[in-house]
Amino acid sequence: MPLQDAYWPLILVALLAFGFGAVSVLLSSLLGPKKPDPIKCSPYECGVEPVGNARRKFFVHYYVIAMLFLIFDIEVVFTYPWAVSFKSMGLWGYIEMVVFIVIFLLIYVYVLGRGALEWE
Amino acid sequence: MSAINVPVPNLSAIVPEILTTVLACFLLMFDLFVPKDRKRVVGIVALIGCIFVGAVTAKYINEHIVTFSGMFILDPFSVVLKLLFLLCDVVVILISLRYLEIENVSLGEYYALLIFATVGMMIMASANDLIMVYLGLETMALSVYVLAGFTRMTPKAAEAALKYFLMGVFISGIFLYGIALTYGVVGSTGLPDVSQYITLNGFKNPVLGVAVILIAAGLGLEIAMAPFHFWAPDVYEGAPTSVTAFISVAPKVAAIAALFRIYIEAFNLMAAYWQSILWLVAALTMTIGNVTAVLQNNVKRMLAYSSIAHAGYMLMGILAYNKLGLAALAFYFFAYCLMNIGAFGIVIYLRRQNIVGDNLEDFKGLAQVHPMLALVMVVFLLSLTGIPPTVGFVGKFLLFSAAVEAGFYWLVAIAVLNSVISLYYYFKIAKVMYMENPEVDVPLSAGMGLKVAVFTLGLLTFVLGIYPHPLISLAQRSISSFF
Repeated sequence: MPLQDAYWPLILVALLAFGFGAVSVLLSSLLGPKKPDPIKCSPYECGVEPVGNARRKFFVHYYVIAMLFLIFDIEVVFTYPWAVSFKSMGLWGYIEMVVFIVIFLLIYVYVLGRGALEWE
Repeated sequence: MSAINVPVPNLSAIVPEILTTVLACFLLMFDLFVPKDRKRVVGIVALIGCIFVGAVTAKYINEHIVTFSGMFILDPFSVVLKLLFLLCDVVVILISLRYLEIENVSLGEYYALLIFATVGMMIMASANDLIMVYLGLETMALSVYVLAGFTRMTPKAAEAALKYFLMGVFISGIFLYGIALTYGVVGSTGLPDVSQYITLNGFKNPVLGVAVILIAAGLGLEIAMAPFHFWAPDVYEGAPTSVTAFISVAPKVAAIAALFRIYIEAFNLMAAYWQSILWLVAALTMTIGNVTAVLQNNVKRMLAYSSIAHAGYMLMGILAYNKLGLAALAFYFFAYCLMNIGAFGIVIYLRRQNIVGDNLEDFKGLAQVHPMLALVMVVFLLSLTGIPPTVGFVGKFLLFSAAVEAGFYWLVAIAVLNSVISLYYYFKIAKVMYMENPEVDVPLSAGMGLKVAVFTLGLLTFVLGIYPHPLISLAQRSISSFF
């Protein structure tokens, strides 16, 4: 297949995606019932008041949980390519990953021991 | 899908790193089972662990292994540096045991972070690839940022940690940019590959010149060399004194060693180019450090500026680019570790209820209250100035003679003048100790560990000044893989 032809499906999908988005926005603005109230009109900010003083205290647990999420997220990022090429990486790759995951287990034990997952 | 070929590396090359990492993880776990008022036990376990790792590491002193696809090198130079880092750990743990309890932050994580920082520095010492240097640098720096703010309830410590963190993050971006430019030109980040490219293609590409500067800047933050030294006094003053003792020695040594390896192994053919830059930087660093130290009344701040000046002296070892220069550098690392941690140990010694011990007034009349302590402090001050018979003199003598051998007469003249300036502010402390009367009569209450550490360091500073041969032969052994 020539290079130009290879891109046609991509362009088609892009057009389809754009068209679907445009049509649904258009239709919902034409057909949908409109009963505005102040809460509905305010932008959604993950449940936090969108307008107000920026200098407010956050519960420190948010940050701890966010950090833990990040750490374990990274674990998945590294485990996924290993799972894909499990066979070609052989025994050495297996041992490496076991060591890696054991370190994460230690982190988990440490986090539990420090009480970072308790909400008081 | 192409199969990923994973070559099995020679694991015996990273045994010291593995052991140190295991030690740090073990300390974290062990800490969970130690009750809050007995965290000192964690420190003692860390101490024993460091000595054990040191004993194992020492066995590798004659090895020469390149592994991990050439990214990692174990040679006598790196082993000697690893031993130095472990020595730093041992001394810093000894001076911290009681101090952390006085500061009310006796937590097990302190020791674990110290060991994690050591892992990073060990990687830096053994890095044979720019990416590996970066990896070690970040492992070390992230632990040290936390350590700098360890007394987190004091605003000064929080400020120190934040300043250090912001500067560190900013500069590590610059370092990465240097690596990226090198990679862009050479197509590899391995130090031998860079050297090979320059041998084949020359260094007409100006991008390489920029990369050389950016890499020096990236490591220059940890070295605290001239245009990147602004963070040092604030951080050294705000951080807990035991941490200051650590960050004024170990990360600095690791960064200088990494810069040395990068310049000698990768950019060896550009020597004339980086020498002309380092010349200026070294002269600036030692002059700014010494001249600013004269104005200080806070001893921790004064020692911070003095450590900037010492970084300038140590840069002369890289600059000389000869056998003697490297041996002198290795020698000076040890000498600097002994005398600088010792001087900070005395500041910790003076820490009493409500007295930080870092004001010049706190040293008033120390010779009357505690003559031995004052004497040891004088030994450290003599050594920092570079007056015989101390280890600092031998170190400076070797460094200066290496620079003379390489033909840097003007730089040596500047360095000698700087040593004279340093005499003034170091002996301001000695004057206060001997010529004035004590003001406060709160008794000194040092722990056993601190006493052992300070007096052993004092003795070593003196003895190795008279009989430096063991250290010189160690330094000579470390250079066998270069030149």
